[in-house]
Amino acid sequence: MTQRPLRAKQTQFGKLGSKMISGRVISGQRGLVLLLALLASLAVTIIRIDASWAPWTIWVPTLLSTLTAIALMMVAPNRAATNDPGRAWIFITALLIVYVLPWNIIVKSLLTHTGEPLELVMLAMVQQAALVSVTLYPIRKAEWISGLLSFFLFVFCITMSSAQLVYVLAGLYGLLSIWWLMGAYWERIQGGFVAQQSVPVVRLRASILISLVALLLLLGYIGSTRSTTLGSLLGFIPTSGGSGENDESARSGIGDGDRVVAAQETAMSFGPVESELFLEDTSPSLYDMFTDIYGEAPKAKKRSEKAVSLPGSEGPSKHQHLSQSQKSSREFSAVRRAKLEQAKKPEQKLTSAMLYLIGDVPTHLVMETFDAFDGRQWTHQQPIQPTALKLVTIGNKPYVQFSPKGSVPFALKEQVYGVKLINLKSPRIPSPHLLSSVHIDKVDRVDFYGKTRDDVAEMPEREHIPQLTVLHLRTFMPHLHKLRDASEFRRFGSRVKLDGNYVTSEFVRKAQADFDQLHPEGELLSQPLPLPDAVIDGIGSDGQSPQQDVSATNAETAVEKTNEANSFEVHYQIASERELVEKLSDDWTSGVSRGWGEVDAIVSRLKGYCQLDATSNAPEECEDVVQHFLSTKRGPDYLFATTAAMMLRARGFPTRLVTGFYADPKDFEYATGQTVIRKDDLHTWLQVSLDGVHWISVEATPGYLNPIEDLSFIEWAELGFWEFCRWIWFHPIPVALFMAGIAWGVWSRIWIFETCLTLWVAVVASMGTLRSRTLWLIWLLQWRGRLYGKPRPNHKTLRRWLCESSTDTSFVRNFIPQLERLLYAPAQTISHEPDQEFQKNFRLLLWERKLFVNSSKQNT
Amino acid sequence: MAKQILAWAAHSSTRANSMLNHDFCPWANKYVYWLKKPIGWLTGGILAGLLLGAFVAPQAFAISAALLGLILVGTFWPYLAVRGVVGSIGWSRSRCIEGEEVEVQLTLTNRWPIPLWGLIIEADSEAIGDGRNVDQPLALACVPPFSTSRFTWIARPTRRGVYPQQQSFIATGFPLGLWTARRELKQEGELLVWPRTVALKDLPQLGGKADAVVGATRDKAGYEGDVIGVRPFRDGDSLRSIHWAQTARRESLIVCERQSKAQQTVVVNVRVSNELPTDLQERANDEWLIRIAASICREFIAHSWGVQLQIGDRIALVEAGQRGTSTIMDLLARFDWKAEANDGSRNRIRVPANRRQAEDMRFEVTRANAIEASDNAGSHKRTQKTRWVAVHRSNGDATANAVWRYRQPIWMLVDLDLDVDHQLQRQWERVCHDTASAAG
Repeated sequence: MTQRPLRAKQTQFGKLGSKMISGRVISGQRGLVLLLALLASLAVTIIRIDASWAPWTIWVPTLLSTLTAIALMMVAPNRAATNDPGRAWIFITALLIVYVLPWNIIVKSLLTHTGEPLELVMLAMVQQAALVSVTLYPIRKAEWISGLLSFFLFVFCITMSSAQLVYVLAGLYGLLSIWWLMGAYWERIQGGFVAQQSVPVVRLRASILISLVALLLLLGYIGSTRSTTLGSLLGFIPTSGGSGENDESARSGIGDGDRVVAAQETAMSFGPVESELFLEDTSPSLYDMFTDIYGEAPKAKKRSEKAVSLPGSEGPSKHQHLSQSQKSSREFSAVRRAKLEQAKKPEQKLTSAMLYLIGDVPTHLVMETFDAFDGRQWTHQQPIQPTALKLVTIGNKPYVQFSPKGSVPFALKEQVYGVKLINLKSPRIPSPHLLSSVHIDKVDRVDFYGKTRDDVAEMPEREHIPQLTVLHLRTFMPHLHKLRDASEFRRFGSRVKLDGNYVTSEFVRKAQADFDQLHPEGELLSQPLPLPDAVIDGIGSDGQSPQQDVSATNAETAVEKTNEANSFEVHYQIASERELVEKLSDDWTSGVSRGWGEVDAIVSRLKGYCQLDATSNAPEECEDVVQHFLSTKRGPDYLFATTAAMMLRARGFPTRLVTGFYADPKDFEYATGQTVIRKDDLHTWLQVSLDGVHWISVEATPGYLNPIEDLSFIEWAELGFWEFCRWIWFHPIPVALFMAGIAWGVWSRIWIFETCLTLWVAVVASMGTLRSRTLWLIWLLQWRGRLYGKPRPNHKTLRRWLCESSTDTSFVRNFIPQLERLLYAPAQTISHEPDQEFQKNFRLLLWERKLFVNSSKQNT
Repeated sequence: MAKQILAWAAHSSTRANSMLNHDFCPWANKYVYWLKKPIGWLTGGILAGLLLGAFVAPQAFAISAALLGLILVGTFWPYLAVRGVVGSIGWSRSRCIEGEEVEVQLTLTNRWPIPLWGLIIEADSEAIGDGRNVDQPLALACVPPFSTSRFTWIARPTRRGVYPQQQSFIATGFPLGLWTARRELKQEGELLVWPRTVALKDLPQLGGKADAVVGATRDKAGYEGDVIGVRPFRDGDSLRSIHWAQTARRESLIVCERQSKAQQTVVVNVRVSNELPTDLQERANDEWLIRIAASICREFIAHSWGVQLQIGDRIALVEAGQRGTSTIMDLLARFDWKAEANDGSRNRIRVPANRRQAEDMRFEVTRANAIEASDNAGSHKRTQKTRWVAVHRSNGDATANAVWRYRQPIWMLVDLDLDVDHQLQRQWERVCHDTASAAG
């Protein structure tokens, strides 16, 4: 620590005190004000000359009057400083200010016959007033008046003139006036400076310097990596085009940002659909993602489209060029060549998004389904029954209903999704499973919608849904938990409603038969047997409970009717080695009661049994990919889905393969509340049906999550608990280590707490004054006393308490006088630099952990 | 003719001057006062620039922006500067006498990485100024960055009292002086300024033995010295003086009677007026009462007298020695006319019965014109022991002095328009000599 000597400081501002001008001493401030007035005078003269026909009539008298004023200042510098400068002086002052007016009259009438505008004449008088007040009146008030007037003159000049020189003068005036203000302030205080002695606070300096260096390093790192932080700073003001920067959120500029165009900013915006784009887009544009990836030659096909007419006031037509369409595939091969990895090109953000999704993720968006499998290829064979679509109004919006509310017995809650198509070109509506209804703004006609042969919602007779369309989807959320229970699962069969009638699917009938096999009749007597036939024939649409009426003959009829409506044969075909598949599925579901639990068991075991490997394909000559997959235990997602589908079929579940998009939670953007779905999100999974009408997506590939299911809190907690138990069971070592750590923590809690306190005090004691360090040490000692059962009572002094409680009293006794001196002696008598012995004792006391431990305890 | 014109011009200019300088709406001054300051000009400039920019030429917006920038710099710089400064102010000692020099100590810690220029200390100028140039603020040229600076200077308080009487601030308007930001300074202790005293050297000093300092004891009932007897308990007697054996025997409280001091006691009563001094002159007169009383007390204490000082409703009973002087001076320094005027209990002076001294001499210090008729008539107050010391202002009128001087019961008359120190010393010497002569 260095000390600077005592000094009364004068700085450069103080040097303004006085200056010599032409041998006479005038105040520095006054000289500066005079300079400001001269600058203002010059600016006004420039403007006046600009507007004058005879410049000499301006600059000659101005120059003369200025010189006169300065000469008078030199000749009689202090004349006006007296209380009564005399009438002559006042007369001269008035003459120097108002001469402009008579001079202008003379010039106009006698010399040039042109005069100045009156405002310029008055301006010239103000200019003279500014000059005269500072030259003839050496008082502080006159300086301020002059400064104020010259300020006014410059405001006027800048406003009235566009001459470059005036701006330059204004800039100079600005700088000088700042200097003048600073000088005025300094002049006011400089007489009262007091002497000082400074001690640098080194600690503060070091800490701040370190912080600054750290900050600079961090900034340098951010700058060098061009990370997203810097990127987001660049995009702080959204731009679109022009600057070279491009921001999705831009609202104006050269062009709108993509979010505005695509109506991504607010999901309720349907701008593009309402536009003529939808009406006039005739270019072929179906682009099937699946065939693009899995290969088939494209065939362009030109088709006409339906359109909704909108009023002509919507604006002039615009043409938009869209890309060529591709034909959708009708089969899915499970045998494929390994895809060659290509060098990745830099991604363009705008083109990578196939669609945007608003809604809960993970979600599986269905694009195509396949029901028949021959060991190598999936195809779609079983056509679905045409569904009557209905137009309903939900929240004043027209929705086309694919499946009315209440028709799905295991799903009561609805979920809402928004899908915005960006680059996906397909007439199919990418929708989650259990689609209820669809809405596109202003499209309020049912014939715009339909279902494909493979049971996917679509906009028929259309090459593709136009880009940037926003689709609002409502889907059912399956409540699967109850179906995990066997008896509930069995009862479920009586509640299937199809086309207004309750039916029982073949599958449910089989499930019930299996259930009966597993449980002796005696056990079932206490439970009502739900028989679906009663539902069909007995109540139909009258809404009575189906369980009330039970009849065996009706059951047969029901099955037949159901078979007519929903033939599940194709969904049960197992084209793989049946024994292997059945054996494995039996193994994996052993101990699991019939119901949805089997589905869970099989897919979860499969996820653990095989590894996801996108490059491990079955050989081209392979006739049974499932067998191959189960033997190699490696494969891409479609092999997982295929295998799971086969195994579930072996357990009696009708299944089908689905291709579509997986909305990954990782792609969820919190800023916009949207999930970006790119080409990479193309995925294959399977669906399981319980009634042949409604299909539930099931995820069989490791690393992918099942779609969200409807769970009550109790169910959620129950599932979470068992999942937790399962996790503990499968991770014994970390759990054991954790428990051991907890046990150690509880056992050594005092030691840990004391260590934390000691470390804390050691850190804070490394800084601060000697007194504060000592107080921290005392704080620590008192805490130690509390921890070891010897707290300091309020009535005991530190000395008495330490001597009575501590074990090493001799050592403490040596230190206590030093402590007390530091605490209670007058501040002036305490040295700020502790001596060696004090420091040694301080350290000993800080790290002495057994001070309060009883000697008996210590010995043991 | 020319003369008439000139006269008319002169008359007109005078009228114009008076009209231009007349304040037509004084009530509005508090609202427009800021317009006279640079920040007012700049604000006006901003508004003008905005109007001009909107209606005349857009380049005027640039003026507004520049002026706004100037205002921001002129306000934020001082604001940030004082945010980074903490400090405390105090004095090198806790007591001094009017006009005496005392060192003021200011400690400032600058936490900013830049030096701070042009800081001003806004505090009680009486307590921190040297009393010469009151308008000149005390300023600090520069406080270095990351440092603790100690500033010391000499102050010369000229008025008795307890300081500081107002909160101290560190302030700055640097760089442009547009706006002053201030921050409170921590006050380290207080400064008691004792009234100035006049050395009354002519009082004969008691010389001799150590007994002279505390006085010898004598067999007169009192509260010091040895036990000389017992007597029944009287209110005010200390419980420590109870003679328990006798009390038990007589079944009533009996106390020990002890000797009293042989020390002499003087009572000095400063008769403050019933009203608060209205003007500075009156206040200055009353301050002289306090100074004269302080001088008398000091002199008697120096000569080992016990002194009982009464001023307002305050009373101090002190023994000889430095401690006694401090007590008397502290009392006088802390005496506040304002509080005294607000307090209606001024005449209810109560001296505890057991502490009441037999007064050997009494001084009444008062204004000459405040001596009441009853005093003048020589009632119970006018005893041999009472000495009246009066002050007045003659305004140069010698006859007024003569009138007062020989008026009863005035013992000493001080004319405040003349050299007070000299008068006091001379008159004191004279009256003491006269007393001695008379006694002799």
